[in-house]
Amino acid sequence: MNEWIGSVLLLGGALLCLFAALGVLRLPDFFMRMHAATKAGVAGSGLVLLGVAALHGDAGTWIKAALAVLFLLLTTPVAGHLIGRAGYLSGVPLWRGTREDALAGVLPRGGLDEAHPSDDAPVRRVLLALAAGPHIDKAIAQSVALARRHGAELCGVAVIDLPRLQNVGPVPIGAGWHAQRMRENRIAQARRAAADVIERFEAAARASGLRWSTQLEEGRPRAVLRACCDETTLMTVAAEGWFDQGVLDLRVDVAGRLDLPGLRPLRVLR
Amino acid sequence: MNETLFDGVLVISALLLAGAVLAAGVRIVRGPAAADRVIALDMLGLIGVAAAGLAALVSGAPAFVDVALGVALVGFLATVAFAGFIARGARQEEERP
Repeated sequence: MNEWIGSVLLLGGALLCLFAALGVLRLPDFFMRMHAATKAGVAGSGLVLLGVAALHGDAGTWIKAALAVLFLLLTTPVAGHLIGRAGYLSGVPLWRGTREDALAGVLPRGGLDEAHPSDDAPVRRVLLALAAGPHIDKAIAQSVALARRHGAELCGVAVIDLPRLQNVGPVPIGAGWHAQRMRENRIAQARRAAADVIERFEAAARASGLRWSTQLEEGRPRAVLRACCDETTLMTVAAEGWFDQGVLDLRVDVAGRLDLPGLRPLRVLR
Repeated sequence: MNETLFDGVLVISALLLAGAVLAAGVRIVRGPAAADRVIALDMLGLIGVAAAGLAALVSGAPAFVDVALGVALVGFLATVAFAGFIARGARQEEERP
């Protein structure tokens, strides 16, 4: 009986070790790799040790194996925390899809930090995040001027903030149909407004003679714009507009909401 | 449980651990940051603990379980030391300009 239990523990532990190591090899950023190594790694080697103890069966081996497992469980979280902190301080890059950096502004990031690529890196693309608002025409004109100054490609991305438009607040019982209609209405309105803004952008871009492109996206603005940008992109946005495309008449601090880690600082135009 | 089946379990476990060592080793070579290498080293230490336990079974010498205990201890200290080293390097980088 003990042999069967021990064998299963041994195989399971070795398999977990392999998974942990594959995680360390394959996961996209340092913090995810650390998470694989510390959690799955400890579970794997702990199971192997317990399997060894079960197969040996004598009290001395059990005690030593249990001590080793206890020790691993106590020390690895500490080691993981310390190395994670050290990695953050030394500025290892975060995964591109990272939504939120809870330590931004709490711990200093040095060295390798990609949070603010140096300003003398070439700008290959000026990306204007198109949001209907009072300053959009000026923002388009200034973006064209910026692109011309840097010799960069001009790119207009209109985003429709679907989660925000779909949020109609608490709905009383029986009003579900109206809430649904309200959502659809808002989204249709936002699409019309976005199409209008894109048209204006296209007219200005065509007149400028630069290389240009436009894009229409729906989703969370931060995530969408993050996916569109890289280190050579300078992102601009019109002040006092948000990606509800003017439908909800929001007053939003655009710069604060769109300050994406790993990119050049955002340029707010008015 | 018969002998051959048990031997098979040991061989398969050893092969899985060998694959794990290979994966962690590739990460150590690739880096890219020092912190990545340290975390891969930590992973190697954990695989070492498991391998020492397995060696106790294969060789029949229970002393290898003590080795596992020792490796677990030293691996932890190494990771903490490297973490301190990296963090201090980052802080000096911060103060230089």
